[in-house]
This record gives sequence, structure tokens and C-alpha cells, in this order.
Amino acid sequence: MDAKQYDHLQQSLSPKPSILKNCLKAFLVGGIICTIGQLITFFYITYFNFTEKTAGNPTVATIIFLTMLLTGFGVYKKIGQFAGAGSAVPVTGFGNSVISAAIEHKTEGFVLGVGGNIFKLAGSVIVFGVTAAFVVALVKLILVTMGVANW
Amino acid sequence: MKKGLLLLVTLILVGCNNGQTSFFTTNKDSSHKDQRQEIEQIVKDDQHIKRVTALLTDNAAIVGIEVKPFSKWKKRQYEKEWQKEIEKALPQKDVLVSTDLKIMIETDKLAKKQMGEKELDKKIKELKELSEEET
Repeated sequence: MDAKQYDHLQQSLSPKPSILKNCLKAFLVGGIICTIGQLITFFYITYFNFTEKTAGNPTVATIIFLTMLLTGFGVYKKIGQFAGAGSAVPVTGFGNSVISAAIEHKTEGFVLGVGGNIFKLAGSVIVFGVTAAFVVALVKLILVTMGVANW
Repeated sequence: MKKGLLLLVTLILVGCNNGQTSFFTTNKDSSHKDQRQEIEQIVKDDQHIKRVTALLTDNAAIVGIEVKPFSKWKKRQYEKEWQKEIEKALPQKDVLVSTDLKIMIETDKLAKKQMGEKELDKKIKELKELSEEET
């Protein structure tokens, strides 16, 4: 059996993922998470001294705190199984990856276990986020220097 | 289950319907009538504006503008244009035009209260500082 035949066999035997259904689930759950985030933003704008511009930071902090609780109680795992990318793409996914790594390595001690491994999963997100931000800022700097855009 | 869903949808629809408020609101005292009309003239025919609340004192003016949903994409640009126009109309005043939800909520609150010129000036100054905050 050559590689092509094997591929064909493997594809015909493995169950097909229902892409549409998964997309719909991800859309719904991701949408619900973002709606909760928007409600928290409105809460901060209405009851505290935050404007639309500044309310983003406390909102993200609150959402990550809620994710921390849900991850600790094992609820976020179930949400993740159901929704897939819908629960991974919002900032809750980032929070979940940090906290689950911390919980996983707790038995190895607080310094080398938790401290050394807490960003094991989320580290790549930070690295690529910072790199992407640098590149985007560079592009914007060039555009501003050329006089096309302004800061 | 179905009944619950129906109830939920009805409640949401009813919730969306409340609060038919007027287009232009200002503070209650009778001075600055002309200037108020000038601001109203500027914002009256703009297709992007849903609602306006303007507060005026001798030295300062604050105009909170609620933008229609699909105009929100470009609201920073519109905000700058309105700021320029209203500054031109009221050259002797310190003007702040904002489309921020927080400013709208606060100006609405102040418009309902009865307060003296000095107190209002102080509040407007506070709101201006708040709107300039970046983080």
C-alpha cells in the first residue's frame, strides 16, 4: 500500500466532522461570551468613571477573572468541548490556557512548577501578539512619515 | 420550553421599545437661549444623529451626541466635524463635543438636575478631564 492509497483509506474510514454545526456552536457561544463582555463594559461605564475608551481594560480583567473561576471549577472544560474555537478565540481562551497550565503543574511546586509553566501555552500568544503589534506599528510609522495617515 | 422562549422574545422586544425621548435636551435655566438654538440648528438635520444633550454655562458648553448605529463606524470623524462647527458657533466658550456613551449618560443626568452655574461649570470640567483620559 503506497502513501496515496493509505490517505484515501484513512479519509474514507475516519468520521467526518460536521463543520457547519461546529461553526454554529462556536458562533453562538463566542457571541454569548462577547455579549457578556459588552454588558460588563456597560456596567463599568454606567456605575464607574470609565468612558468607552477606557472601559476596555477593567472589562478584560473581569472576564479573565470569571474564566479563572470557571476553569478552576471545571466548567470551562465543558464549554470548550462544546464550542471549540468559540471559547478559545475571545480573551477567555487566553485566560483559560494560563490558568489550566498553572493548575496542571501545581504538584511540581509553586516556583518551578506554577511559575515556570504558567505561560507554557499562552506564551506563544504573547510572543506573536507582541511581534504582530511591532510590525503593525512599523507599517503605521511608515504611513505617517509618508503623510498618508496620522496617529 | 417553547413558552419560555416566547416569553423571553416578547420581553426583549418590549424592552427595546421603552424610552421614547426627545431629540434635543438641555439644562433647564432660561439663559443662553440663542446659543442653544444655534447648537440645535447645527445638529438638527444631521442624518447620523439620534439624540443630543447640550449643557451650557457662561464659560463652558458640553454636547453629548448619540450616533445612529450604522454611523458609529465613523463616529470619531463626525465628532471632530461637529466639534469644529459648534466651536465656531460659540467662540467665547470652552466647548466639548463627545459621542462617548459615558458623556451622554452624565449629561443626561445633569440636565435633569437643578444646579447652579458654578457647580455645573465644575461638573463640565470634570467630564472634560474624563473624556481626555487614555487608559
